[in-house]
Amino acid sequence: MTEVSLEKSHGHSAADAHAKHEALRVENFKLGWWLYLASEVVLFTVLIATFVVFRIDHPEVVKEVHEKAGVLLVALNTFILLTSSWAMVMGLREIQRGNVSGLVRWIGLTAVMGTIFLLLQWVEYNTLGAEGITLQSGQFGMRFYAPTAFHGVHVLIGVIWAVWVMWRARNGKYSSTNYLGVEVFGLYWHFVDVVWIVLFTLIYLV
Amino acid sequence: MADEQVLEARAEEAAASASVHLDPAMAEGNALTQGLEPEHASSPATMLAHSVPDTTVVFGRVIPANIYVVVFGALAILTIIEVILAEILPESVFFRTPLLVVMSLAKAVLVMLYYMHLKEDNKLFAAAIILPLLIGVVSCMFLLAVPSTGYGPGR
Amino acid sequence: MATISAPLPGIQVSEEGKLRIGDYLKWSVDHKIIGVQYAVTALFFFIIGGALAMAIRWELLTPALDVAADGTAYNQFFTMHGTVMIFLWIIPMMAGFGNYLVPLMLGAKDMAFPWLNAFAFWLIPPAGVLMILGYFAGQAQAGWTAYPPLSTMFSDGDGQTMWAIAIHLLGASSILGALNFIVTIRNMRPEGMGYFQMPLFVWAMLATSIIIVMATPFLAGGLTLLILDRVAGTAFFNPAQGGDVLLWQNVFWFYSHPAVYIMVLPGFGMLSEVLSVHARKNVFGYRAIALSSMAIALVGFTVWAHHMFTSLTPSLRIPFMVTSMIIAVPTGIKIFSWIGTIWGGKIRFNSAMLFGLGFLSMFVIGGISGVMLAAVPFDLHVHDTYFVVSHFHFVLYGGSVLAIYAGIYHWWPKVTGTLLNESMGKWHFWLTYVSFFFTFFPMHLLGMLGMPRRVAVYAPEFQTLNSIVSFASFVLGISTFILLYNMVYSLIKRKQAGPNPWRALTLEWATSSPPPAHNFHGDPVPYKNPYGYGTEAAYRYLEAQEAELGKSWPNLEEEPARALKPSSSPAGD
Repeated sequence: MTEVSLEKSHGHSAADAHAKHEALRVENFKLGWWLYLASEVVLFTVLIATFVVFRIDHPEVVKEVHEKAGVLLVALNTFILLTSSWAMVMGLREIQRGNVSGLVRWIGLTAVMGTIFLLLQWVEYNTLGAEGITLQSGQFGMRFYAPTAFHGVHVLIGVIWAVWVMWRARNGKYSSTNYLGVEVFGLYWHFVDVVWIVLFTLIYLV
Repeated sequence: MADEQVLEARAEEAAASASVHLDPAMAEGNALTQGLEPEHASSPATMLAHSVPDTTVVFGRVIPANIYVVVFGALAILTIIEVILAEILPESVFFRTPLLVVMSLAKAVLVMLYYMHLKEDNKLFAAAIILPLLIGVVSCMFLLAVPSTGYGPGR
Repeated sequence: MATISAPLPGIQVSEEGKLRIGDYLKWSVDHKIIGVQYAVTALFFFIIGGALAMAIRWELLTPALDVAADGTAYNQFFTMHGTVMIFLWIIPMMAGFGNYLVPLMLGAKDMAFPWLNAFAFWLIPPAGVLMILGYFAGQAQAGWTAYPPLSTMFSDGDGQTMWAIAIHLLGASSILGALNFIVTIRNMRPEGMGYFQMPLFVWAMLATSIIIVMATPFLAGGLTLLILDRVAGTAFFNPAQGGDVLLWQNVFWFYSHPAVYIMVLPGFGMLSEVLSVHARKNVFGYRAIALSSMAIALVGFTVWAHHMFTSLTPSLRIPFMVTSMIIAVPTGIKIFSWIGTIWGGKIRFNSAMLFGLGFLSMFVIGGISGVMLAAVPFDLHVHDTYFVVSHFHFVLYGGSVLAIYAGIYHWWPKVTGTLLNESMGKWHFWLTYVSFFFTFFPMHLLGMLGMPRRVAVYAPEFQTLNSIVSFASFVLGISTFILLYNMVYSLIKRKQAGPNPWRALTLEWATSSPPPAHNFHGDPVPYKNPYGYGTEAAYRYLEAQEAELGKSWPNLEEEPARALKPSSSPAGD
């Protein structure tokens, strides 16, 4: 085969090219975002692993703390985060149907739930602090606060992001064909939720 | 290449504004494999012709609204069961920890499949999240295998 | 020899492709500018790291303490030398090559996320400055591995904290860069280029990026705990308060062993390009080379504990010995494939090729001493001696740095549009090659004789070998300046390179040098096999390219055989 051409065969129309470009942009963003989440998984793994190893080596210390602190408050908190995740996906659904005010309402619920979660976590930290469990108090404290507070920071960032998404939605930046920003935020928020689901079981229940 | 095909399918979707799908007959078909006819799906006439059913189409698959509610319910119930089990099962029961961990993993998988749309979306995303999980689990296992303060008697 | 002085059509650099120094000093989202920014920043830190290496070797010229004020000062020397060379020279330099070349090789206009790309780069200079400023707060002195308690209880200065924050930033930068590469490679290949038509450098960057995304967060997690220990009063790494000192070693090597492959895999990729182009021959075992990169990436995650054989539970030594030896298999596949590539080729012994061959020979030594170290009984004997120092310098200098040199000579014409001086390049090569060998090879002997690493004062019987090492290292240090001089000289002389001076088939050459703002004049069409040299189709492809872009060699005397008799031996192209 010696026939070589540097010319491309152009079989696509301009509209196709545009749609393809748009699809590529969406695809790029989502893959990039998933890869970012992948690296977050590893980061959380390190923090959770420090707790899990401790839990296995010193079950008695963890049991003692569990009995002191109880599980009700944090179970309530888990519900709140689950609800916020549900609100998030309902918001995404609204914008997929082209309903901007629905989006704002549901994401608003997400933001409120996230804020309540943070407040309750603050209450929980204070309660534990009053019982003498602090970051510096030794074996349990540091291994408990590091992953949960790191998760809390993620929730805080998520709440700020949710407000920003609402603001953008109000300014008409999203529509039924253009909701990548909402979708990516949704991935983040659900990821934070998933981390909590695992954290909750490993740290508070097991 | 398979990737190009997927990309093409996505492109068609974008052109066909696949997010809101109003034609139930069309919605039965899988846009990814059969391919949509852009003129048909994107024409405003079809858009407005029917009343809006309570479904959305994500990546060419129909998603009824109540699936999200059902998943939320499942998550809530699993959490309640988890908390109750954690309270009533004594530490000595051997399956306590594995059971609780499996339940939490089931919840995590539910969220990822339905809320994060891994069920419908590109399988590569699933791979991207499963690989670090595997690496993380393996490294955790290893940390468990290594006594935490050196080795020898009195770990 | 006649030179053509009249301007040839198509070879002038278009206005937008012109190099302006100012463009490189400010925020830019053009991947080509970012690539050069990475490379220049990395070279700057290379000089700093090199100066520290010279200080270390000067100190070790005699058994007594003479350059460093005390042991702590010496600890700071080698800590900063190691950290700067790894995190601020090799990794950013590889990212620089990747940034410049991956979109070009894929025929794309830019990376998938140009803004993120720029952001990832601009994390590096502040991090580097922060790390070096630690000098004024009590420089980090716990070695580049920063094992606690050295990095916690025995590092009083804030320099160690600044060091940890700087590494944190560099890690974030490399994660962001890497996910950009993965998305670019997956989604932005041109029509007609499947995964197995990609140039091998792109494959190597893909494998590297996967490692970075999966491994670097381990380091981030560990550093977070280290910073908490240092500033927030926790005791994650302090057994006296219920911490776990081995945790750091595990987490650190979860990252840092894969990081070895982060540093060397792009070098492997460059080598595949350089060897194939300058041997005028198809790559031997394309799939084997491509897939062995992925195999190395995956197996690389299972070998970390071989750095900890002396602190590891004995029952785990054998499994890690086995996995560590397994990783030699894909590496061996690559080495033999490269030998197969140059076997019977029409080799041009220019600087790029010489450095490529230098890499091939020296990396084999480093690889084999690596297999020796993977053997537990031997490792227990030479653990933390100069044998280890020798091994990783053979891998990182003989591997990564020689590959970077090969890459610089190979792609310099593309990046700047000018040619480097060949005879200076050859001087650079031979001085580097010989002095490199005499710098690092005697360290094997020192290690076997029992000289520990990281000591400023050593037993007098090691002096002869240490003096040889030191003098050779001074020559090695000086030889680097030949390259730097050559670069400046070439930029001033501006001896013009054509669009495709090596007549290579990969897409980065299918545009003018330097490439215009959007990389290509129109959409480039990839040749079906990026290494299909020696076929008539490839020859026709290059002819067509030449007709479109202008002569490969504007200076006829550079390669007279080809220029004077273009059609006499099509098989040679």
